[in-house]
Amino acid sequence: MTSKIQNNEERTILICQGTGCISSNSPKIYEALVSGLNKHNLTDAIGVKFTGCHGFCQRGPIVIVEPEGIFYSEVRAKDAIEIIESHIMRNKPVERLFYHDPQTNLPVPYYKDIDFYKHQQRIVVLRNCGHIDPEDIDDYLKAGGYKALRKVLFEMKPEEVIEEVKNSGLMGRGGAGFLTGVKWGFCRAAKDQPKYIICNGDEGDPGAFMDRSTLEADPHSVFEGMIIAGYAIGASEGYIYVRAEYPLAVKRFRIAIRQAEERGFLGSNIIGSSYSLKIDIKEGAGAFVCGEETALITSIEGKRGQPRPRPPFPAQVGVWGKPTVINNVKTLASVPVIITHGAKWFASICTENSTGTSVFALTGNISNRGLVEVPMGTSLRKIIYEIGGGIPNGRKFKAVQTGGPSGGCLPASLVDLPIDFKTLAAAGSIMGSGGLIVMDEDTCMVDTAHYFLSFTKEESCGKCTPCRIGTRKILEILTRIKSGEGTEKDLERLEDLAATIKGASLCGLGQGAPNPVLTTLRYFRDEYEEHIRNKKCPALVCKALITFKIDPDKCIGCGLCKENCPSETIRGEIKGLHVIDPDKCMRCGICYQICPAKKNAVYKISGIQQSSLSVAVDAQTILQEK
Amino acid sequence: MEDSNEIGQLIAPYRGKRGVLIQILQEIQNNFGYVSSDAISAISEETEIAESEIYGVASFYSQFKFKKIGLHQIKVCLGTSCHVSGGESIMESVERHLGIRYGSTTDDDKFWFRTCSLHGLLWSFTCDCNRRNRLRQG
Repeated sequence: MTSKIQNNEERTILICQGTGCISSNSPKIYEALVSGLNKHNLTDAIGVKFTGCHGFCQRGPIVIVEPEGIFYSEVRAKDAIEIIESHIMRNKPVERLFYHDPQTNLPVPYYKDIDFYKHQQRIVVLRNCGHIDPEDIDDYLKAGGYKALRKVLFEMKPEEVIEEVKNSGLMGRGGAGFLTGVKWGFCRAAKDQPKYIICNGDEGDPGAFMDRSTLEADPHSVFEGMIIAGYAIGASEGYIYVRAEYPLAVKRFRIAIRQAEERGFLGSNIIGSSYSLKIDIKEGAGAFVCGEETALITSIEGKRGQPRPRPPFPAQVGVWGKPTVINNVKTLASVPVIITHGAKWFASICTENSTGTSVFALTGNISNRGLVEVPMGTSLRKIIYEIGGGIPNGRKFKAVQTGGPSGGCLPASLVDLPIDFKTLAAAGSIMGSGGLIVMDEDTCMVDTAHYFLSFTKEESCGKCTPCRIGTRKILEILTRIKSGEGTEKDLERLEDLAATIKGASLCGLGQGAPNPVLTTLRYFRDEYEEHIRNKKCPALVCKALITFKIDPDKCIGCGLCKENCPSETIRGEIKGLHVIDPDKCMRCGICYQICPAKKNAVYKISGIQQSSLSVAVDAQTILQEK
Repeated sequence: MEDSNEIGQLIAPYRGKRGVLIQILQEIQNNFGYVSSDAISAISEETEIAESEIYGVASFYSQFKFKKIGLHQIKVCLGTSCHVSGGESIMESVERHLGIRYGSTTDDDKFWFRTCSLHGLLWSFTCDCNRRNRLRQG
């Protein structure tokens, strides 16, 4: 490839320091780059700075050379010197570090040409992520930060701000999809004082990490949104509630608060206006239910984080009994953009039902895993195949799970569904916080429902009976079906229980808990029936219903399976045929995992098994014949 | 191991503030590794919150431990992405290797093993799961 020759003076090397890249040693790369530039006396000419998450952590650590936008993936500290000596000094980018397209295996040098980024529109929430230094307020200011705040404080009345946000059609990005402007309006109208603004960063869905990445990569945009919201509702105090499991986000927030206070963006008389706001950080302590707004409020008050019935809504009676607005991280991060570009602009990125963009954490059985921002109404097909690069290892796409444990599983037949709040609800799922987990044909849907129910059962706070007992009962039935002991009646019982829990639970956790069961029953009923009637797990996942076998034609007798079998189930001599005794086998699957990929001699079968006696006889015969 | 003096010092910055019980418990756990019954009594004395209430709050949140945990902590993520990529087999492997169930500590107090639902690092574990031979190390 040819690279435009760049004047070294404008060059900057960006190193990602999101949680993912840090865990793959990106701070070492930073040091190596700095010392490398030092060695060649280039420190004055070339800038090195670290950024927050690019949302493509699977390919981390990520290094980008600006302004040409060359994207290096999976960089090691030892590669730093080559980047400097070849790319920076001789204008020869290091081709072996380029991202390689998983489909074509061709190198893609430029950030903007990578399919994962090319088809996204990172224009609202993720606008700065990966481009600015999250620990430097000046970087945020250079990117146009706090301009919206200035406009709001000096040119707009609180009511005008609320009107603007209402007109933009912004809906709460935490999952429920309530109109943000309307919520603010309720709180503004409440008489009691003082009022509070809370940022909900208690992202707990298994499979979601977009709030964490936003908090780590662009904390000031969340602040700016929070201060604007606080001004609109008339709040004098604010809290940011972040999970303690996100230490980096907490650290960056503390730095951001300090810098914002030093520059007068927080505290008394913000940037010379008459508005004052104080913000505190509260760390969560590991309870999923605290993502629910009333539970979050009790947790902030230092109590057991249990929800309470609404009304009264927090906009009237919130933290310490005072009017409170709770907004999700992504909602708040969207606010400055709406103010800067206007409600009309935001509303123009839309479908009939929802405006703006949505951010998804794309994970599971998919080639490109990471953070995705696309306009509302983008089809699943575009997200999975164009951005996500399709399903790896030649497997077939089976289902996608949206919205975390309160969401549902949508089948491959809905791949052209445009995703927004309404379409997902109609399909039986929810937008939720934005988890998007792709599942291939090797995923069992009964097992998936079982997985989510084990999660909600564990996380049920125990306050209301339908959720506490109901989730446990559903889980018992699912366990029965998974073990091949389910009956036809169980399916009716599941539907019955699900309806009760959905209708009678106190908060969103219980109301959403049956969704994984209901959607899998709706779209994959045949799979349940197969488990119940034929005692088969078509995806070969449910352990009670599968048997491991060794293909005599493929086994070369390497002995790896026997050596690693924890229950000494496998018999056979080196270079001879190996056989698994189904009676002793505990179905751990180690033999299946460990059999060399080229041979693939161990396989799984499902369904009515040969009686163990006849298998033993078979094995004996085979062994003798060999 | 901790005396009430030390606990008093940890609590000092929070004195007179409301809604700080969880933060105090977090301070205690960060410093001592767990929340002992002595610590709960000491907090109760300092804050005038009933011991039963402190225990009620602490036991509600999965972050707080009431027993000393092993020197090394091993966590296996069973988040959705890890679940669909075979996280359970890794969990079982660790269990077999250590000879304990998740949620417990080995007899020699060396390893404490637990599972978690979301580490926020979904890619790294799933990548590992995809490398079939990883399990050999189990």
